[in-house]
Amino acid sequence: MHTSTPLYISTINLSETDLKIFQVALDLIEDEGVACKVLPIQDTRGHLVVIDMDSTDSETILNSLRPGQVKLVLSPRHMKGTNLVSIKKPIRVDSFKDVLLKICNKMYGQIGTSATPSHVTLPASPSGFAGFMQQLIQIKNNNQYCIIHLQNRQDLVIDGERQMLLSRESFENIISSNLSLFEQAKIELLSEKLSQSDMGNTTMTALAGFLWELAVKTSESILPAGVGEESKFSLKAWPNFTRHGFKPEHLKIAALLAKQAVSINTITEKTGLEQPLVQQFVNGCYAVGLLNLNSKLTAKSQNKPVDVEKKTLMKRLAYKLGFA
Amino acid sequence: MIENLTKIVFTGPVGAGKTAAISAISDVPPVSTDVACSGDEKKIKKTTTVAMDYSYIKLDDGRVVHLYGTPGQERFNFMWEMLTRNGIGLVLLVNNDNPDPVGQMEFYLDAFDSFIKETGVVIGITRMGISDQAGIMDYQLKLMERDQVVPVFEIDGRSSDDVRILIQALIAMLSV
Repeated sequence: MHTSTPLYISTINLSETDLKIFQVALDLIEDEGVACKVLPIQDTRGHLVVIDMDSTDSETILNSLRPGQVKLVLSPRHMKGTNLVSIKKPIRVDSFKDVLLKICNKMYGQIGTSATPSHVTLPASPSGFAGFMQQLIQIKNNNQYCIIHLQNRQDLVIDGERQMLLSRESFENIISSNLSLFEQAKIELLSEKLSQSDMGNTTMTALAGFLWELAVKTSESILPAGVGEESKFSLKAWPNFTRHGFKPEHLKIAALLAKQAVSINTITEKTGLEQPLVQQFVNGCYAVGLLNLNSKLTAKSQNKPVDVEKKTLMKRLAYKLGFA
Repeated sequence: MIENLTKIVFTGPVGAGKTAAISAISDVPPVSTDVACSGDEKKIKKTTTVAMDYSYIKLDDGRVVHLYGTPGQERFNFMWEMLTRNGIGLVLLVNNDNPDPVGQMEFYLDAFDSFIKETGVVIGITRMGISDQAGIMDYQLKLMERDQVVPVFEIDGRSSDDVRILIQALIAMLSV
């Protein structure tokens, strides 16, 4: 059968149990001569993407996949779409194996079998700053270790287990760098963390704080994958503003997004704030996992417009405390 | 019509930093009814507020925003409802050094539930630097579980900047 070319498979938002079932099903189809390679969890570049639709961001991720990628969706309901196969939850090893085998056999006809594994080119990851940020977010979410090689600058190290960034340069220096520095950065995944002697004298910063600052200060309004100016989203939780750098306007945006799902265009209309400022905030929240991209949150009925007198009182209090 | 007696209420368990937080933003030092601690409270701090803290912020139009701190001990909870009358919002401070700080947060959110629904709440977690009982993510996850998207920030109750950011978030919430 197909022993030479591995088929790359992505697993997105699978529960621990479903991942185990998936692994057993995969072992069974490999016994039948099908060569597959599973990408790190949440890496969406696979030829085949297995995705659990129960997570809030699954639909957004599904929509952001390329048309050529085959999607195997695990869902409580039947779903239809181009290059999309739906499997009803809860999944069982036998049925999972049968579906995987069928898809893999069909896909081998499309990707060919002549190349050796080393010649298989992975679909390209998102490029530029968006791609760089996406990789860092995955490393944070998967508690991995990596070195970030920056051009003509000291390397940075991410300790995903402790959720820390280790650097020899000051945090402020790194954050004030140009976007191009990060666009050209190379990320090297490590199988284990570096020892303290390898690291030398370093300063430690919370990884979430680093990602927030990087996204807000250097993203220059590039929106994360899957977010458009008209896509609606809300906040899962407020950013930890006392420990992340913020602008007073961010509080206004957060207060709005905490109450209802709205688009970037609606935020700018309602708050009168400039779009780049809103986009930077959205980027920051996305980077630290606080954005609910599949939100159906609507303003509750009791959220009636704030009366003028209360607004005036709030303005005066803000002024008194030096916020206005 | 907003009555002249407009209040922001500070609550939370013993040792969470309510008195210090009020001091950080008020026009005059708060009037506190502190007494020497007894029993387990003595292990946390030397004195505690048994009735309430009080101070105020005078606005440029002459109006006054009153700042009330509730007594930390749960045995004084009969006063909580009274103190929240005419309140415009709640500042909940939780001491991360507590054996179950996330549970403490839930307790106060439940106790002030109807007031929070009418107004709004901001949560400040104190003593995070000296205790790793819970991380900010633990509080965020509990709030997500409760379907409450409210500000929860790590703060130093003695830092006027931190307390001001909390109040700033409360103002933002009450203005949309």
